[in-house]
Amino acid sequence: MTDSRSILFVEDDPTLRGVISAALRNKGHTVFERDSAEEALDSMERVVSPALIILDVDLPGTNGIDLCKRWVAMQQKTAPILFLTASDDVDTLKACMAAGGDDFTIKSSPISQILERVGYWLERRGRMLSDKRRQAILDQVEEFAVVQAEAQEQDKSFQAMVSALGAGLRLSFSTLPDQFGSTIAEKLYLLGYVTGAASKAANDRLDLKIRFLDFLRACLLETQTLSRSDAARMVANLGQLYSVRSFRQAMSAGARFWNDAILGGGAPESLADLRSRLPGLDDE
Amino acid sequence: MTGHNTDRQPLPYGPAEAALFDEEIVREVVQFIGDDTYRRLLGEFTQGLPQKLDTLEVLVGNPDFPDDAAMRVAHQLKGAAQALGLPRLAHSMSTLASFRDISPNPDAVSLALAELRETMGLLLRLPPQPEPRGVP
Repeated sequence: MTDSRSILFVEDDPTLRGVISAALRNKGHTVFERDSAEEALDSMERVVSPALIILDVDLPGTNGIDLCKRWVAMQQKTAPILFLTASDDVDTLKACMAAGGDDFTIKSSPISQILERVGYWLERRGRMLSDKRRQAILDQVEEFAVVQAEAQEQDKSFQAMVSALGAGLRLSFSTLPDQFGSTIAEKLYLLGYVTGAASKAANDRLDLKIRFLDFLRACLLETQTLSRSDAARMVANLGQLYSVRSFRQAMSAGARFWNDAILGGGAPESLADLRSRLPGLDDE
Repeated sequence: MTGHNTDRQPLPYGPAEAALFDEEIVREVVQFIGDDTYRRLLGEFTQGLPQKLDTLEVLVGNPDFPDDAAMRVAHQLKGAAQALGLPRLAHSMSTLASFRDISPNPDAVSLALAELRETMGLLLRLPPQPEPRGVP
């Protein structure tokens, strides 16, 4: 007989499983923890009759989606399945629902949200999704896929902007030695200032951050005064110094700064003139 | 029933380690699982971290990188770090996971691993947590 508060939780990571299981137990639920599809299959056949199954997508061996399909095929899916996924990748979400899943939630969601989803399904007392409702959710996921594809197109435009800005910065930087006869330390300081002024907070767009660091390395090598290893070390230091939260904002700020402070005022006439346009640049 | 009063409980880290933790997440998790359980899970996680990072470094050094095995470890550690409110570690794991899409250069990989080692070093210097279950 099904216990209306019992949950089968299949997740191979002991930390995540431990956090969520402890929270569920503190709310009065009975939690059967399993760390593989094979253990979960065995439990459903012989021991457990849960009111809800929380199922990790990315299990070792047989993954969660294949386990769900197997339960459906064997007519052993006797409770709703709430998939737990590491990402909101559309194909994964579609696969979860198409396999017979009833819901999904992202692992990085606040624990309160995960518990809310669990509470919702337990209140339904084992009632699973109808085929019609499952299809409606699949349609919503398809709509999300369209929105995501549009965002990716915008991202390409943004990356083109980054490349253009990078080319402009590179050109400007490579002409600095001739214009000002400044030392390499000053040039690096200037480059660091421009990028640093643009990077104030952490960043989810690490791929772009890495590309930008690649660009900085190219800038440094173009000065022909640093060896490859020194340039790589310098870039590594920059990468650690500048923890960029919003790369898009950072690049926009950097572009504005460069245009307003450097190019907007016409070509600087001297290093002193350049310094005067860089607020906060001290004379160390 | 959560039943845990977190207002009077100190966080499981000091000011020196604050940058490693997301206070809001830690407080929420402690509210739901209790301070002792949080500390125990954190202790178990940090004790197992060196071995997992060794595994990850071997995988990252393989010619097949970024392959499924490396991505799996990176995603698992990222999920655990997020669950415990360790954003800096989760961030480093995101970096490694992002390499699947962008064909990283060796400097970027070295930088990510160096950041990861530094974060792990800081975590291992945390005040001792309660012994994990099963340890005599």
